[in-house]
Amino acid sequence: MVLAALELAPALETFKQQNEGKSASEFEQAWQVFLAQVQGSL
Amino acid sequence: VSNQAGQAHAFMAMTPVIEDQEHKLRELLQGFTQQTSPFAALGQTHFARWVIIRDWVNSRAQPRQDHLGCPYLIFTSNLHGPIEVYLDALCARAEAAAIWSHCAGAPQPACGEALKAYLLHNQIDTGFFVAAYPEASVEEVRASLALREQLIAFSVSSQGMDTETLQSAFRAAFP
Repeated sequence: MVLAALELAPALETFKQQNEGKSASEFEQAWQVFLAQVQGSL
Repeated sequence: VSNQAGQAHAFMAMTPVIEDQEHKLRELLQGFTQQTSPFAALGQTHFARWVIIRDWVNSRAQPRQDHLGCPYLIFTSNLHGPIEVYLDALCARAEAAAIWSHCAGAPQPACGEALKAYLLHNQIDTGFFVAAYPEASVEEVRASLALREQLIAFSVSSQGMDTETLQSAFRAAFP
């Protein structure tokens, strides 16, 4: 669990950078993809 | 033999318990809770414990039986940073003095530089040390677990939000 958790911070930072300035609907889609990608760590 | 894996260090010391004091020492150790354990106050501790052993487990296959002459206190810790710095912090604690005052050969009072020297004298090198996350400090591990909890909470609470509310809530939660 800790190993997976350690990977969350960099993944979240990348997500934030990639989705800065996106529209709300684009952000929502990206958020769902992000959640699917990190669900194994949650 | 290595007491180090990345940023993590291993320390182990084995000290003889004074005759007739095993019970008192055991009671003292068992009295610690997660909150009152000195490890809770030592922020560099990944994992640590005290164990009292009465004897070795011997196998019939051994060529010679090996027994201890008295109970021993084993202290092991996986810690972040230099061992000496960690021991300085540990040996300054009243709990450490109370614990090792039950051990034969320990300085009286069992604290400070004298206790540190005693522990280093009784140190046993680690035969095989593997750190689960060798590059992460204790602080980083705690921060990662807290972020994980925050993400879980946000993913649950944001269900059903419209897209604009979701975006602004995310920005507020993860600035």
